[in-house]
Amino acid sequence: MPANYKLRSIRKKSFPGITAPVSCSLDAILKFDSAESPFCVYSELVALRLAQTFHIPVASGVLTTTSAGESYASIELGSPGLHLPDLLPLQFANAASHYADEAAALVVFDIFIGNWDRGSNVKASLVTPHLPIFQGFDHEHGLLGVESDPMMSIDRLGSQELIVKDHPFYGYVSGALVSKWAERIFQADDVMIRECCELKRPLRTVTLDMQSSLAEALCKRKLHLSQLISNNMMKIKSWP
Amino acid sequence: MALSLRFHVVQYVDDPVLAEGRNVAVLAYHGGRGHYRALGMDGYRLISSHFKSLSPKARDSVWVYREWAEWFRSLANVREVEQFDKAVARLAAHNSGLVATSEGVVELTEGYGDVSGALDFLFKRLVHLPKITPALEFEDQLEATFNQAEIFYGGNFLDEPVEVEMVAENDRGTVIVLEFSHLFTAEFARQFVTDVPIGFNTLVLQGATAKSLDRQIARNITIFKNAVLTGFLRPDHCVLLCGRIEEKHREILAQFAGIATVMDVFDQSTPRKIRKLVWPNS
Repeated sequence: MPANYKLRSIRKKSFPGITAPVSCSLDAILKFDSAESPFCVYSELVALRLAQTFHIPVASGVLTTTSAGESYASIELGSPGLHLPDLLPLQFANAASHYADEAAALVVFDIFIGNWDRGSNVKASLVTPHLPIFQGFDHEHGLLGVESDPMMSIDRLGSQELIVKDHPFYGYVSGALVSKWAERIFQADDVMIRECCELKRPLRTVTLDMQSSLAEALCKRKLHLSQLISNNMMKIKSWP
Repeated sequence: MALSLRFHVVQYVDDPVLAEGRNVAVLAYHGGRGHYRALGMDGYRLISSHFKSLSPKARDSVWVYREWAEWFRSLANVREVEQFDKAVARLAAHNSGLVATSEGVVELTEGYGDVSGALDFLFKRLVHLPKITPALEFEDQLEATFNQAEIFYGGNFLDEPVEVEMVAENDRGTVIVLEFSHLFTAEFARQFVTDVPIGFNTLVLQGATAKSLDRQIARNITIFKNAVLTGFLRPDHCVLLCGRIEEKHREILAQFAGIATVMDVFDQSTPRKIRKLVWPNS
């Protein structure tokens, strides 16, 4: 019998109610300002805003309010019952090979914000090819957290100093990709960087002046980023 | 001489509020490297059903557990004890998912054997192997069958339930919905791969009541008949995947004669048969 039907769609099977909006809760790590990291909330929030502006793969998060005041909730990656493991040092090479572009982006971003503590703060799916995931998290030691004094952090960011002496992906990323991401940040308009840093209100102990000084330092760092990376390329890039 | 082995128990905590955990793994560092035993892990093979059976959430999280299996393997290659301790400390800081909850020490005496023997003993004592239902056992075998058939490399294989809508090319525009547990389509297909779709449905014969079986059979027959009637599938591309076909099932499955090809996922020849459908000319 000749078919007199045409295909309209093939889609994942929908179960009753699955398309209707429902309230839900996501697992997240709540981060607060502390004596050790007094500007954690601001640095986390601004790092996320900058990363989203440049399309750097970092975990999403939101500002939220708790009994201890404003805090930063970093949304966990994985499925409801189980989050993805943090990368082990032995997995760095494999992750950088699976996610070459993303790893290069993260290296350049960490240098840009002065995040010297990337360590194992990366989640990546390595054996789930149909669900590629690569995201950095934890940026409290970047931006205002480079030093214990925020003004010193701003000074260092405004200088032509690498700051990030060690990084899990140093030695595993392509020089060409690193240069590409440095160029992308260089091309960004200063206005966008200011919009990421200046929240138009103080956030906890971070004043408007501090926010504005940080923006200026990053705009300056952006101009020298390619040169800074180029000067340290032997340390950063992988060897063929 | 007796040597002490420090070990860590890893629990799966489903709900951070209830904070009730189930032991799923034992980790240790000895002799310049990490060691582990983890639920469902047998060398490089992961038996998904063991973790899936812990809870409904765990069932949905099995893909993440696979990533953890890879993490355990990498941990075994850690050479420095500081790195191992750091990884365990991170696990201990979790309040849900996989959490390192307790630490213990056993003496490795001559009677105890080596580290491997001690870990086997601890794993047996500390990690209770869950009861695997026939449905989960079937899922495990189905996954292994598709892997062996290498169907994932053929083209667009949807490894999850799908709906196909076929619309009558007449004024009334009648819609027929076809439901499949898995579907292989020619989209993105590689060379020598069949250019027409293959539709799969499953039927777990064990552990189901007669009434439930009848209902599933009637549903599958309707789907496959409609798939052929609408021209979406060729009759030989309608595949019913079953598990452990026994003599008593022959009569039931005879209803699919001329409608679908019945395959037993526990039969060693099934991956080859699926391959033949996907790559008819290879």
